[in-house]
Amino acid sequence: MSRFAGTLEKEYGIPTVSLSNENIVSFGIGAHFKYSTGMPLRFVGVPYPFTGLKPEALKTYPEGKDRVSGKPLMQAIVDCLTKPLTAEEKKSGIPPEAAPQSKFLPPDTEDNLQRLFKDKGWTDYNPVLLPTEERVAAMLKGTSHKPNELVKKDSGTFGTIRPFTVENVAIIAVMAGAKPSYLPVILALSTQVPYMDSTTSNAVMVLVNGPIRKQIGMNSGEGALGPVAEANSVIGRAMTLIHATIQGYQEGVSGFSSLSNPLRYNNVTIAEAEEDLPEGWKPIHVQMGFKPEDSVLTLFSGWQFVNCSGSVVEHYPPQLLMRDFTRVLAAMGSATLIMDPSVAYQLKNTQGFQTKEALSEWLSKNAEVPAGTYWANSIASGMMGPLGKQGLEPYASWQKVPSDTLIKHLREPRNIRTIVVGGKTASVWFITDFMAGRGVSIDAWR
Amino acid sequence: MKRKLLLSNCLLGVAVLILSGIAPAQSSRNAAASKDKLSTVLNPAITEKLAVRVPLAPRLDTLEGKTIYIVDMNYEGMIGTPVLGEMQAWFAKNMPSVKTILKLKGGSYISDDPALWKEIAANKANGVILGVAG
Repeated sequence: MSRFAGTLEKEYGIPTVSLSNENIVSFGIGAHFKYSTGMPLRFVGVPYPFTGLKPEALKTYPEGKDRVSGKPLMQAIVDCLTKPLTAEEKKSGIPPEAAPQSKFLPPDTEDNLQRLFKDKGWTDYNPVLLPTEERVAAMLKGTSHKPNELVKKDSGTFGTIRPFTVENVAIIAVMAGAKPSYLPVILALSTQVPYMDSTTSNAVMVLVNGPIRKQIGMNSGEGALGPVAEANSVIGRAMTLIHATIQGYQEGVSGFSSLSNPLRYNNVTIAEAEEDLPEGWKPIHVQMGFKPEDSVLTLFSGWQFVNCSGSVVEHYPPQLLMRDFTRVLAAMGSATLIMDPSVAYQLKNTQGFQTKEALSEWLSKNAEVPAGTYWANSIASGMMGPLGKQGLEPYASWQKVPSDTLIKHLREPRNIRTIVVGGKTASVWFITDFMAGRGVSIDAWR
Repeated sequence: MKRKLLLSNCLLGVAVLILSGIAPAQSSRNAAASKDKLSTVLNPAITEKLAVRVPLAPRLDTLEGKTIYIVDMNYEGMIGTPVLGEMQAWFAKNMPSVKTILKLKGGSYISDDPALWKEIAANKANGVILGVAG
C-alpha cells in the first residue's frame, strides 16, 4: 500500500491517504518510511479485522474513530488530504548518515552481556555463545571470503536497507554455537534474507543437499527432524538469529505474525538422505539442475506440516492417503512431501513410481478439493481471486462452479516436491504445503 | 594392628574433610572472579541506512468541489470492501460537492496497477483514498 501511495504522491503529485489496519499503519509510518520509502505517508487506521465480517458490521467503520489520530475517521481522512504539510513532510534529499554501529560493545560481565543480547532482541532467548574477537576470528577460518565482503544490502523486512558483511554472519554463527565448518552453509542461508514473514503465521524450512551434509555431520537418518544432531540444530538456530539480527525482525515493529509458528524454533533444518534414495529418485538439488557433487541450500516457505499419523498400511496405498491429505493444504498450489526412505521404496517397488517426478504427476492429476474450501482460504482468494476475475484460467472457472465441485488444486507437478529423510524405523511421512525456492550454492561460500 | 588401621582411616577422613572444605571455597572464589570478569565482544547490530527523503505532494485547501478517487485495494480478492462504499455514501451526504469515484484496483492487493494510477492522474483527480490493507 505504501508503494502505491508513494507513486501517487511522488510521480503524480496527488495527495493520498491510506486506510489500513493498525499494524500496517505502524510499519508504514515506522520502519518502512525510514528505511524504504523515505516518505512520511499519511495513514488512518481502522480496527482489525475487516475481513470475514458481515457488511453491516463493516458499514459502521466510517462512523468510528481513526486509530492513528483519535479523531472521527472521516474527519481524519479530510484532514490528511487538506492539512498543510509539516516541515518534516516537506523534507527531501539524502538524510544524514545513521551513526555506524561500533565494532565492539563496551566491556561488561558475561551475565550483563547475555542480558543485553536478549534485551536487544538479538537472540532466541536461550543463552548465546558471546562473540569474542578470538571466536569470530576462528569462525572466519571457515570461509575463504574476506570479513568485510558485503553479502547483501537490502536485507530488512520488505527490502529495507540493512547491508551486512561476512563478519556479521560469522558473529551470528558464533552466537548460535556453530563450528567454522558450518559457516559456508550459514553464509548461503544469510543470502536469502529477508525471509518470508506473514501475519498469517507461516514458517520456513531449510534443506541441505550435497557432500557438505556429511562433511559437517548433518543428520539425515533416525530423528532427522528432531533436536538430536548438532549441525542441524545449530544451523536452524543460526537462521533464527539471522532473522532477528541481520533482517531486524521484531514482532510488533517490523512483523506482525498473529500466532507465529512452532516450526520457527528450528526452521525444520534437514539434510536429504541422498544415499537412501531408491534408484531413479534424484536428490532435490539434482532435480533443480545442480550436479550431485554440488552442495546446495534450498529454502521452502509454507504454513502446514501434517503427520501421516502412523505407518503405511497394506490395505490403503500411501499415495492415496497423501492425495487425501492435500485437502488441508494452503491453496498455493504447492506441496512438499517429507518421507522416510522406507516409504520411498514402497512407492517405487510396490506402487510403481519410478521417479519423484512420477509421484508429483500423479498427485497433480488426482488431488482434489471442493471449490468452496479452496476459495475459503484467504491466501487463495487474495492472490488468485483477482486473477480469476480478470478471466485467467483455471481460477475464472473455479469461481463459477458450485462450492462443492471438486477442483484439481495442485496444478503444477513441478510445485510438488519430495524430500527423502529418516531412519527407516517406521514408514512415516509428512505432507506440507511448503513451496521450494531456488537452490543456492553453498560451495560459493567455502 | 586394628588400632593402627583405625588411626590411618581417621587421618584420611580428616584430610578429605579439610580438602573438601578448601576446594569449594576456592572454586566459589574462582567462580565469583569469573562472573565479574569483563569481556569484550563484537557487536552483532547492523547499521541501517536511512532511505532518501521524498516530500509529500502539497495538500488541498479544501475538498469542496474536488474529485476524490476511492481505490479499493482488493484485499480479500473476491469482493470489494463495503467500508469504501460507505465512505462514498458519507461524502454524498456530508460533503455533496465532493465528486467521488470508487475504483477496484486490478490484480491482488500486492500487485501494482500502473494503468489505474495513470487513469487517476489523467482524470485530474485532486486526491486519493487507498484502502484497505491488513
